[in-house]
Amino acid sequence: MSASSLEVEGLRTEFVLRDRVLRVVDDVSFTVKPGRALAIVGESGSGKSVTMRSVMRLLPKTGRVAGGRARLGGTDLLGLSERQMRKVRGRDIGMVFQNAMEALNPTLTLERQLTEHLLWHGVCDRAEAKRRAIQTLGDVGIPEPEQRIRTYPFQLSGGMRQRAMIATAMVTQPSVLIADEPTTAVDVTVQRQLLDLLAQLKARGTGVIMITHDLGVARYFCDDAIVMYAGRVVERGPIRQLLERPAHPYTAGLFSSTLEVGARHRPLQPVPGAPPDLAHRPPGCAFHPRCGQAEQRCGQEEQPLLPWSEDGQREVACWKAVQHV
Amino acid sequence: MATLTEEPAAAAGVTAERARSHWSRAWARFRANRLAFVSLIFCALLIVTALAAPWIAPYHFSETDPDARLAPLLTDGHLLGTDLLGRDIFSRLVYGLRTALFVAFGAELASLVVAILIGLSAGYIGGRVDQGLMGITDVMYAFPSYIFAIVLVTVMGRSIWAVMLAIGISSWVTQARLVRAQVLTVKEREYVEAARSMGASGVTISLRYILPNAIGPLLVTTSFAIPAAIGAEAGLALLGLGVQPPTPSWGSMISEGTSYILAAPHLLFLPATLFALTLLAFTWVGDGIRDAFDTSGEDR
Amino acid sequence: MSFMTYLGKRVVRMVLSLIAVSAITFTLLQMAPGNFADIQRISAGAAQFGGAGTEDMVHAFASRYGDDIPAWRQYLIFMKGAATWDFGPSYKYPTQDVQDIIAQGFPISATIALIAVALSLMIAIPIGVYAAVRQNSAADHGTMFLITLGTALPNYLTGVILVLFFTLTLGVLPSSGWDGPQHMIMPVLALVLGPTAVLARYVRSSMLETLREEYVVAALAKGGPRATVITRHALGNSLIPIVTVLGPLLAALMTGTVFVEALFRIPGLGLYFAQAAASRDMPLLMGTALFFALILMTMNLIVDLVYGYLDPRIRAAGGVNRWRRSQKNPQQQPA
Repeated sequence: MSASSLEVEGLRTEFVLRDRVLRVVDDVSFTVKPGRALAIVGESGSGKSVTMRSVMRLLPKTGRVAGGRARLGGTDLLGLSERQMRKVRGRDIGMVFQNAMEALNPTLTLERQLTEHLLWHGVCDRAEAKRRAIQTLGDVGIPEPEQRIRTYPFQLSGGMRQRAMIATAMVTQPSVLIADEPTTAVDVTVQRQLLDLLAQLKARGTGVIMITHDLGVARYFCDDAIVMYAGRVVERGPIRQLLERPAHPYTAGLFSSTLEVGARHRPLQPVPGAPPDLAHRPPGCAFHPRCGQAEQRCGQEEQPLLPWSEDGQREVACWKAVQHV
Repeated sequence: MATLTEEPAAAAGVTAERARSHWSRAWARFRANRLAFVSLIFCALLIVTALAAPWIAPYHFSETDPDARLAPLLTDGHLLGTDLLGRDIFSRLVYGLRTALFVAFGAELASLVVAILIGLSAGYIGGRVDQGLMGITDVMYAFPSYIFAIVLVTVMGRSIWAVMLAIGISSWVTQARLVRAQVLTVKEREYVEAARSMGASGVTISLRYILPNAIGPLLVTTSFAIPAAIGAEAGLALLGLGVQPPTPSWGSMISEGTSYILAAPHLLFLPATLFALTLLAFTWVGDGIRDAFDTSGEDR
Repeated sequence: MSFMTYLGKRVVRMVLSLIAVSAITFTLLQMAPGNFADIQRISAGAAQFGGAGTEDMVHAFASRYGDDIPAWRQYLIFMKGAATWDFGPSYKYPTQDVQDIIAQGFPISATIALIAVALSLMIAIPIGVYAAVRQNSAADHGTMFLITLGTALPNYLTGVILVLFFTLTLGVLPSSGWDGPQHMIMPVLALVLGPTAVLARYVRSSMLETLREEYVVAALAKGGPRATVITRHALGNSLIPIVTVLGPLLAALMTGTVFVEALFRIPGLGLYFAQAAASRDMPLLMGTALFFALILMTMNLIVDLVYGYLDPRIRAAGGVNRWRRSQKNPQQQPA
């Protein structure tokens, strides 16, 4: 496994609808270093998942990346041919989905689903692939992996299924793992075990991106965070600092509402009002219609990300917050 | 008590309102579908031609011209030629259209009536009646419909009414199931319960509340059943089991045409072409109706 | 409910349905005006059946059913025979038993129908998949048009169009008869279009649905080549529900051969059935109608069982009741 960073810079993604173009990801940048974990936080519809699908180049037909770079160990993924990109998917970047019930093929055995990408990428032969698959199933805490590998996903319990899915992503030992709400579909005890599993992975040098709207999970597991609103990053920084002193009013609203673990099953409703429909994005700061501190200027000026702390680790897209430093 | 009397009326008003806009939106969608709309106009022309057959056809369908047998196309006095007995092809096509549409619409009307009666009683009364009626539809479902239609024609003879009835009786099952399913979903809605609590009779409830909801889906299945029935009529005639000659049917014209395919290919070509166009037009109208009522909009 | 219980229940229900079908057919035919002898006498060209033939028939009927016995006893005698696969002699072909005629005609009909079904599968699966993968492309619209054609045109009309094209325009392929493979081509082609349309429509919509499943995205995210993901992950799962249409489809094909056999004068079961209806050959009509119903029900049963086998979720459950509830109703899918 080569330990390389994923550096996303100025990513823009658009959806082409019949009569207009929607920009759903706008100028998003972040870096994930080996052995670090980044949380992408935001309400549903904020563009978190589309950001990751853009990096993986797995957008639906109507979507397209309109700008930016996504470098993995020096190569820009957005400039690769489809054939080259295929070698990155699953080998260099693994993906874990929200619901294993849906993300695992119900009619194929675990063996097939854990080994096929090893064979696609020519990592090893079938026998070795099976050996590695059994090994990984054991690593993620599935008892009797030699027997379980012959079963179908529906024959496992929910927690086991989620572990099996993490195993499919781990078996190739990717440099970066993207986990899209990996613990939303399971109960609290299982959630903790899955996070510990991901933590082991991190300790072995994998960079992890966790898409979540559960701040309890983000705080427990991640090092850094970006907060997204209406397709843009509104705040970034080390997660502990963010939690202690949120700078953006939106971040503050998010954090104050859901700090206790177990609140995650409620849909995140940090601030009164609903996130904007991207077709009718408010002018200026997109958050201003819901913001308790909004002034006239907020509805007129776009808010760029500006440094907020001395060491430059924190940035925020809010002129009022920057003023108060 | 005052509220009790007002509520169902208000609810009915709301549903009527919703129903109206539902229909007008469906019509707007249908009109936007060019193929369906053109097909509808073509079908309307066919229907008018069938109704006005005696005035449009230059000859009676059984009138023979002994001087012109197997006349080719564009013969003087016989634009589309004549058959073996010297009967005018154009006139026979027009009367054949009349037979086809009469049988198809009649059969589907009969089938619709049977389906609504059985579906409504099964769904509304429920219990043993439901089990019994659905048992019958299960058996009918197991009986290949063509085979049943052929047996029925054998029994009832070959009058146009018998053919119509045979096709109708062998095709009501799907629609009866549809009506029943509709009844079961609508039955538990609040406005129906409210009406029932006021002592509205089963018949009133069925006609006022349940049937209007079922009309959309029924219209869709019926619009596809019409071309199928046209096909069945011609199919029976092809087997020699359709309407009694000399009443013309496209099926028997095709059957005769195959015998003279080398000598007079237009005997086969003309009815086959008109037949195919008619079926396609009715099918496209059906497609249009289905899409117009399909609000999911995912699959075109 | 174990598998055997399920199978048992299905078989019992099938037998009951068959009895119901036979009773309905028998009752209906009892009410039919005119009998075989009348028809033969009226029919001018019936010299070969007249006289002795008709006498033979009356004699055969009397020897089997006795004279002047009530209809219900005739029915019981018929069913007793049917249970042991003995339908008695045909009226029209007094020297042959109905079951022998079925044994002669059925292989011919089945051959045409099975070739047609195999061909439709071979055509429908690729075009359905391609149309779904390239949704809204020209190829997709072309497929949809083909589907409309197949739905709208009955097989005998397709047959006529084929005859006009091959026999008349190109001067190849015989338009009737049954003597060697060249006689098989047009009937099979005529039968293929309809089932191809039905299957392609199902494959397309089932595939569209499957392609939206998350496990397809997940397989792509593992670096699967698109073609591999489509064939291994999506296609397999899309085809499982297709199996449910195969039963009704095969049955429709079997009965559909009636028209194609009449058009091309093929001595299959369908042609015998049509002739029996036209000449009121009651034993033959009863026998063939029952046989068609039997085929239809058997097809449906087999298809249900195969469906259970193909889906590991069902296979593993060991019972069929669970999947019957979970299985998607194919009728609900948008067409």
